[in-house]
Amino acid sequence: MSLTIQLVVDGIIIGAVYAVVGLGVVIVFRTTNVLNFSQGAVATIAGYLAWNLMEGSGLPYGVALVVAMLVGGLLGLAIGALVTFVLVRSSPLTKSVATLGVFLFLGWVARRVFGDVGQVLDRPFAGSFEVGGIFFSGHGLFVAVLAFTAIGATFLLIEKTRLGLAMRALASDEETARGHGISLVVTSLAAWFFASALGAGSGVLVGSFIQVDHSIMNIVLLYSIAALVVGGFGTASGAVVGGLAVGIFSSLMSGFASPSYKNTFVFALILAILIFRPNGLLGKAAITVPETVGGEDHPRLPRPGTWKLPRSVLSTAAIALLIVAIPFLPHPFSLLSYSVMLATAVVVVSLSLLMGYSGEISLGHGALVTVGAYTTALILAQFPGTPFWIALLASAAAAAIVGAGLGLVTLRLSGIYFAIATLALIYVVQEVALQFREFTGGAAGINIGSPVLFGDIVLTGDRSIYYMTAVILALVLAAVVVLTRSPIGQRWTAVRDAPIAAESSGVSVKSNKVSAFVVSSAIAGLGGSLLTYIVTFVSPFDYDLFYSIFVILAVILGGSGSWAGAILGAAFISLVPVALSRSSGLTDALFGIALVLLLVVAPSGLRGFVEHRRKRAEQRLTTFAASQEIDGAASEN
Amino acid sequence: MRTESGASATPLLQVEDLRVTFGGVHAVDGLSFGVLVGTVHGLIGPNGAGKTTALNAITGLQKPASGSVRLRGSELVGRNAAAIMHSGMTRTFQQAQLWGGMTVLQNLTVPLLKQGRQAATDRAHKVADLLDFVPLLDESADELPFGARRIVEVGRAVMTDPDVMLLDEPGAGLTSSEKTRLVGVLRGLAEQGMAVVLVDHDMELVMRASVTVTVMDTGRVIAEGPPEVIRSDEKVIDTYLGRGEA
Repeated sequence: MSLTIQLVVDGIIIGAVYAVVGLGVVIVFRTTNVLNFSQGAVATIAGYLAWNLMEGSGLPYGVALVVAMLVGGLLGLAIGALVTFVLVRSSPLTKSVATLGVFLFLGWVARRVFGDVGQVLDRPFAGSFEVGGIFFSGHGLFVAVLAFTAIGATFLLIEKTRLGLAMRALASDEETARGHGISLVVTSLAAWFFASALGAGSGVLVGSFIQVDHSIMNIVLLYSIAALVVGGFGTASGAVVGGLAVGIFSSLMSGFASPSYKNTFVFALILAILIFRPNGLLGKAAITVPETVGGEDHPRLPRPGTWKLPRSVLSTAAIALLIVAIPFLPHPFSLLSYSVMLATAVVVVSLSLLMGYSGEISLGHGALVTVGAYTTALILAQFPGTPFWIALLASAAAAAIVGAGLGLVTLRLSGIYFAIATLALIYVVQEVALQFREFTGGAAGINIGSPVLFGDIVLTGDRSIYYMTAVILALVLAAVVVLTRSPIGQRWTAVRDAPIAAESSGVSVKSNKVSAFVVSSAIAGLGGSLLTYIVTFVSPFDYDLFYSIFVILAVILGGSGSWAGAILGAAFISLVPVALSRSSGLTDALFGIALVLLLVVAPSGLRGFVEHRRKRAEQRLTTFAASQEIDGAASEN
Repeated sequence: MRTESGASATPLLQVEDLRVTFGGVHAVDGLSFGVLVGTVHGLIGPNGAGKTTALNAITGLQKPASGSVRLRGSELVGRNAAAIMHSGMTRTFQQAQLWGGMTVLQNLTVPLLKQGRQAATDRAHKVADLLDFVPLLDESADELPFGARRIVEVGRAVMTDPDVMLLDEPGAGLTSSEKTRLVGVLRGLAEQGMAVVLVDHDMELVMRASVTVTVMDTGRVIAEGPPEVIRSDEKVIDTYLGRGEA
């Protein structure tokens, strides 16, 4: 019994921290509909800053905390300004994706400025005491008091101040609020400042309660998002109840089950709640999943392409020839990197298909790649002589099954909710791979041998594996072109372009969204299988959230629905890290900037960008010609 | 599929005491009407009368609070839109809902995909010929002018040769000659045995096309009858003129 109470007390303390982070997310989300993924990175910077102020300048804890919160708030203000002014006409989902780019960039900044070493902040109350068998650390209590103070202050702000009133007005009806003189810009920026300051404060708290390093705040952020799902997305009280619930739940799980199962349980809980109580445990109002999915709702994310057959035989032949010739040309990187590029193109095609045809963005394609990669590795570990095509198909099937499961349970979800569900999938899959050690080798992963073509024919050498990958990529592209021209593709287009009309024409929106996700998942699984064959290794961390964001970047770079674009995007995300000699921090920064830049200037990919420019130029020309004619006509009169 | 007993007095589509509420607002408040085989049935009323909401409830896009919608005697309330369409009822929308990424031909074929592409394409050509837009078949739906979008949408609703077709403001944005043609098409479809429900702002269009007209105001039926009776109905005149003066 006392163990239970102890675990609950510990859970409340960490849960209060989740609640603070969650409140920060909610404040921005309610005011602007943007899910701020950069919150964790801001908190990390704040934590390190506080540590430096205390260690380097000898400032007391309180001062360091306030300074760190101020700096965090200003950083948030800058991110808010980017989202509010630069991405002014973008949809909330696009803005949320942009904060993923900011998250990557700030992660690099934090490493550059503060180094890689984790630090523990000095604790103002180091001692501990015991009451009735329950053990309290002075610092734990201190953290809890600060966290609950922050929660109380936030509620006061929301309920009692003019700013809070403006935020609530905007959240409930933007048009009306603006009509009554509430400034969207001022209120949004204030929300960004306040929310980021809260996040920064939580970074300092975690820094002294656990430690400050480059990953912990992202995990805290994920737990807070979990808390929001549990409590009901988008309400302040939901964030607090959810935060405490997740804190207590994970504490109990780590006490009674195993600390290493904690994440598994928490992310399984998110999925379960998304399925059974999509409005959260407290939620009454339904999550408003927009009736119309697709184009208009997500301006500036790639407009779905049509996977047209290549118009120019010449350019197709040129690209095909280049791919065939790469092993014989002087290539700056190892051939293995080019094989990875081709396999990555398969993954990019899979996400491109999904984003193009369902209008949904998946943060979890890495998970489907992982499923495919492990399926191949596990088959080969058990039956080493399995022909590669059997392993490939089995991997695609395994990923398709996982995709079908997630697709069915997330039927009612759309936009950011769908993205969160797919995000949770990454961690569920990662945890499964970590936990079933006897099969998966846990964190150590699995090594495999060379692929068997048929019977005794083994593909050895980088060159034969490269060509095998190229052939599979070509087959996948051909299949996609055929599929999107088939009745299936036509139904997907119908659902995407006008879902209500589709439903009224007998084309079920639900089953076609699921089928698009299943096909996309199967292709992602295929890509995962290829990647395992190429690098002859798989671990739970190879295709994580970062990988998933990179694939999104590749899709946006290449433009959805373009096979050449998929290869271009894949080349970018797989060769740049090699060129930067695996300095992952710099890659993150570059990719983060690239993602934000693309969303700002060329949301429909580079090719779309060029076409847009050309169209604009033509338009200007026509307008000019027309005005000339009018002038001419006028002078004739 | 379709019964040819045009004279039968049993309505093909029977709407009874249909109610739709949004919060406390009764958008449709006890709507009842029946549509006979082989007739065009007009549904008119001022803005906010609840016409489109009624169509949404009848076609399964909006869940009614109560009431019943029966097609050939079988209850449709509770079924989803796709199932209702498969049972023989199609519709068009106030804002033409074409699939912009497709050609006109592809737009037409979607409802018939189950019958194979060739059959769907053949039927699409017939429908385009009937509605006089064959030259548009290979155009991208995105690039169609406003009026053409409406005609194509009507064409798409005709594709499956439905028993009942509901048209929401098909006349909006059409020229007067296009409207005349539309009236002819609708009457022709009705003569072949289809039941058509026509919602439009243009009183003249509805009066010319319909055999029976139901007039709605604030969710309720205020009059029903043949066009010539409706034209001289005091309540209808009050409703329309009263609004006009306000």
